[in-house]
Amino acid sequence: MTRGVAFLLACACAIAGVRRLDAHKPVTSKYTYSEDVYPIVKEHCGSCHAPGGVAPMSLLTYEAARPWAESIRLELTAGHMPPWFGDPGVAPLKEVHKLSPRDIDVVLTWVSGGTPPGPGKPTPDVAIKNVWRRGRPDLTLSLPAPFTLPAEKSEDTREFVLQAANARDRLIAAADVLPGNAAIVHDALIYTTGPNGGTPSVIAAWVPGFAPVAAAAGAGFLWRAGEQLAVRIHYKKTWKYESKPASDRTTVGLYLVKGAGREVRSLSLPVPGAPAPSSAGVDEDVQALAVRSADAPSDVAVRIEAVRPDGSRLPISGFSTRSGWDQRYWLERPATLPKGTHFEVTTTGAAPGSLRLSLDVVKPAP
Amino acid sequence: MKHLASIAAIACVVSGLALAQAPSNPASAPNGMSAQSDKPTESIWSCPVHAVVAEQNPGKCPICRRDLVIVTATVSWICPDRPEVERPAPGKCADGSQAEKRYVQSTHANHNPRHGGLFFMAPDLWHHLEGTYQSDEIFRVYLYDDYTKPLPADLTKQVTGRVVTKETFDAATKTTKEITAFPLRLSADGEYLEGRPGRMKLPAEMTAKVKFKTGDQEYRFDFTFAEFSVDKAATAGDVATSLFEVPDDLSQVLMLLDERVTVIGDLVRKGAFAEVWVPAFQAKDLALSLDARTRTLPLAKRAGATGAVERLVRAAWTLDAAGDTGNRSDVEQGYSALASAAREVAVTFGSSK
Repeated sequence: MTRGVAFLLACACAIAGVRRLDAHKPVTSKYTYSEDVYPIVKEHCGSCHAPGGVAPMSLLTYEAARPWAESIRLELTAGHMPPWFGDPGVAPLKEVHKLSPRDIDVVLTWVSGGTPPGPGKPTPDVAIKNVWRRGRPDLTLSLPAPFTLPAEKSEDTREFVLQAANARDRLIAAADVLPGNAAIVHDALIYTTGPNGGTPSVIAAWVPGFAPVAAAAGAGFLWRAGEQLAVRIHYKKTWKYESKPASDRTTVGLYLVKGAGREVRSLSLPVPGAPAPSSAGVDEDVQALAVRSADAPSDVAVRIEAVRPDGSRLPISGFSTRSGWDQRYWLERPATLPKGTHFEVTTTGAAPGSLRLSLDVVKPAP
Repeated sequence: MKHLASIAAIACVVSGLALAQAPSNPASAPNGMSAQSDKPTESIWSCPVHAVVAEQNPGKCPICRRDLVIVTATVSWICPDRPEVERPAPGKCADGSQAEKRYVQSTHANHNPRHGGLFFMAPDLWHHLEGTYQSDEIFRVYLYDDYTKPLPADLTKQVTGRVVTKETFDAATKTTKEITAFPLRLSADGEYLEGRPGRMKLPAEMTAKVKFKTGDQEYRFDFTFAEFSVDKAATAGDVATSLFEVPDDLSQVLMLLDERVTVIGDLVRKGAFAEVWVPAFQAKDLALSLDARTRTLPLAKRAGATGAVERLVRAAWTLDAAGDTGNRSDVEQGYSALASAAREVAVTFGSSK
């Protein structure tokens, strides 16, 4: 489908005084790839949409990006890309990964308006280096053996125990994933459980493209002595691997809290329409650090508010969901919540279904 | 900041270009778009959304599982070390390897009605159709391909459908019940499909429900004819006599934005779906001008303001696409999203006055 800078024609039509308009014309975009689009995709999309990246295609050259124009249009108008769905308008969040309204408009104008290449030399299609984004981890743990997603399967979810039993208590400030095969590792959940399984305690919800965020200074998720550390990997082939077997041996990197620290706890939050969690409030003074969704269907707009014992309300976080892209949203600044605070969650859009929400809290620093 | 360009002249060039230019020949396009008319073409099977797919046979898109459609693509040959250099014929690259064949799909073009009717693009992004309701009280459907050229006779014969003039919708079960419908039949000359709903009061609302071939999904196209169609060649529309400016004054911007929302609402109610893109894009540019003002807002309001503008921009583009496909429900959803975002924008920026 082609649209041009249809607005040029629109502009020429006064708000008053136009009697009739035909359907808009397939004129050429005033924005070009080399001049306008490339700088945007390089900055905001290039960590995945580059050769060697986790995305199914590079967007860093005109030849590579152009055939995906209609797909880009659909993803951008739906708000599905970049795959970070926080709403900093509700409460400030860390590591915002959003395109500006102008950037969205530039790219949509280009993809809808004839995808002109623009002047100048071809842009370099530089392969990205698959590296630890927070620097060298304190501890790295690889899958015990390579895993192969067979030719006939395009998607699978597998769990791997990375270390059977921890020798001593450790606090994990952050965790990252280095995919063995970036083309099939879609997302991953790093968690600890008791030696015989049990309720997992989530350390990190990893999605490609974003650097892991550390909990507050001196705070971390507790990996108790005797507990195992595991990773659940959602494998999904990109189209290039259709009907081909693909192997992976992913490595998980852990960043540990040095010395004594504060344990981050996860509290279940009430989800409208779902059974209330056993505790819907905080039983001691805490600071809220992050919220995390799990098993979310797509297009649920979530807003979380804390109601303090004195009745005052504090917006904690807002975000929308997309199936398969569960992640943790970190508050820009820890929110102080006195004992007795409870939470109200509102959802709009799609039905929340199986959605689960948790709030990560830590005791205030002494 | 004022957006004021000499766009009347540009618009005239643009209109002329659109009319003069054959749909498959973007040779005269500016901005470095290369001419493609002198290159050989082939029919291949590709995905309406993922043009990277080029197959020799029908099937499913490996990325999104949509049915592949047949498209015309220009053919060239490239070497991996210089993918930007298109060669007109096969041959060997500098490293001795064979140049790879590459298909490039030309974008389709003219969305103007050819018979004085209302023109829509099907959700499959390949078929196009135009509906007319002339004073002879016959509803006609003209069918076009991805280049908006008349659909070949063999494909036209496969199209089935009906025109629905009265139906009810049960919100509880989300089901539609047709009260009055008339079959669409191929005209004697095979040029179009026709249905005979008889005399209808203007504005006449009717819905074409069409399958492009047996087993295909059925698509709906909601037509509202404000007047009888008059079969004539496409025109560029009336030449505007003045310019649309984004004013400096915040109150003026907000007032114009509110007006645009009202205009869109009126167009949606009238069923003038093909026209909603104009005020939608005007609303978008008004909102973008406000985004540049976010730094004048209190810190706590800036992220919310940007979010509201972002939602409006996305809604404007969504509405533009929905207007093209002529589905009332999609258009109404797009309008609702845009109006909601515009209210957010007005509240956020209005309170800063």
